[in-house]
Amino acid sequence: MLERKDLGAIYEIIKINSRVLDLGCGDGLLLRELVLNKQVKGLGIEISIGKIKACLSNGISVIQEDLNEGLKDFKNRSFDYVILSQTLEYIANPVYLIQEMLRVGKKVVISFENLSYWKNRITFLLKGELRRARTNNISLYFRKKIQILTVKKFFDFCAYYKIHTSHQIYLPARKLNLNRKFPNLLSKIAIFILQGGN
Amino acid sequence: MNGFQLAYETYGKLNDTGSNVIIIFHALSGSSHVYNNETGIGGWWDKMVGIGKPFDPSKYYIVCANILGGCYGSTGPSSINPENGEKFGLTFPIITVGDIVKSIKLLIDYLGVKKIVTVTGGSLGGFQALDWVVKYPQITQSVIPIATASYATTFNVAFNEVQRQAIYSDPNWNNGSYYEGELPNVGLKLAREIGHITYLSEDSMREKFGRELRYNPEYIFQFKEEFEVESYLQHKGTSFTKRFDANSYLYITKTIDYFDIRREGDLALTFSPLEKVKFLVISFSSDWLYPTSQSKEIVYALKSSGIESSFVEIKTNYGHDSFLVECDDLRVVVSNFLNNFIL
Repeated sequence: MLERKDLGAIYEIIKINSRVLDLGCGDGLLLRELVLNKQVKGLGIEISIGKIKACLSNGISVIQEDLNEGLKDFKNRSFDYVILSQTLEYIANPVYLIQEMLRVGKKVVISFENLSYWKNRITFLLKGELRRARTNNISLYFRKKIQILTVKKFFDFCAYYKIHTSHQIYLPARKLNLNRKFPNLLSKIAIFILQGGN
Repeated sequence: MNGFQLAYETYGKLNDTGSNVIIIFHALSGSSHVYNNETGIGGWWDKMVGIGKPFDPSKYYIVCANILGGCYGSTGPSSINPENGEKFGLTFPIITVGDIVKSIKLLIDYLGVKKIVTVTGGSLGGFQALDWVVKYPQITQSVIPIATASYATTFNVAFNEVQRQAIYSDPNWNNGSYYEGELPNVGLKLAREIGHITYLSEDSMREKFGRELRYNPEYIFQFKEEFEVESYLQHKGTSFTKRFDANSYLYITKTIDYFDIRREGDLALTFSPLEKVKFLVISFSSDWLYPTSQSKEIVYALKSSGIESSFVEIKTNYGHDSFLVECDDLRVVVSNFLNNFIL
């Protein structure tokens, strides 16, 4: 089972037998689940050699590459899904990378931490820090998050670049569909599914 | 050629289905002796072959053969031509990587091998591994090309040419007919010294030798070697002449030069029929003889032909020779990759 909730939700979206490219795939657990249970043909891109070792040990094919360099040599529409889960925050040129994803993938799946989640707002108000709510892991705080992402900002981004958003998933799930009404306030993690294949 | 001899070594036991096989291909100056195997004589890849190592003889049946044209038991220019009872010398034919691979396929069939877990090698060994998998994808589950390329670059050919010139210019070389008299060791030594520089990196040489002086506390201002690095290269060159044949050096550097696996110049086309083969391409950050960019060319071609491939650049300081040097990252990457195959 996948521990990270956004990965669990992404797992549900992916159709069986599809081709999946996971950017910043970490230890490859999402791809492994997809390969084992959904007969997916998967490939990961990762920069850290420690994570690459974990991927290989999980039987996942992985290419060491810097996502800031784009997706060179991947053909147009060569994957059914291109996934970027909680990695966009670390990308220096997100516009270029997302355009590349839309070129290579028929569908693009992007998950990120919504910094305007109400608990994050309170943390900022009280402590003056853009620190994840309920995260006591200081090393996460100091890791170079170079993009500040919110649900609203991502919608604005898609509108500006004329990117078609097919649908969104907001986590955690709430009663009465409240987080669909107020996603920017109530969702901790947002998953956007974009229509690719440009 | 009417028949030839192949010197080979195997480690471990072939399983009942003949499917637990790893083929290791050696580089320019290597031999079939890839593993110590309690002979007491160190193997050239003891770092990677052994119990608890990635190529574990308690699990796999490991095969390594000396290449044709070499001088460690397989037929080469220093072998006797059965037709006239004389050593081949330059009458030996030029051997391509394809010839070597086909000769080893004969051996593999003879040994009763049905299925291969992986074929691997560094440098020229990587050439053979790539050529093998293109020729025999049906029986090969995976390939691990290390510190290698899909063709010899202009730069590779240039360095090989200078090394060959060093041998040609030794009067003892005598157009390859020297086996009865003095050996062209001056030329071979110089060739190896040049070659050896290309196997190291600027950083590793600086770290190892710096500007340290070998014999005297101060400069003597003389032509006899003064710096550590000079005497190191001399030592490497001289010891090489005691273990290698100059003609073999010429033939094998030519084998390298002629290698180009690209079909009509298109590597993706070469790889496109290899759908079922898994690739693990490995390069080393400090390798300037077969740089990461050469490995990436392989990876890009694999990507664009949709072949399942992994790629990692290992950070090391030791230049091209990194694949022969103690390296935990290399061991872990290869072990983790291999653990997923069904024998």
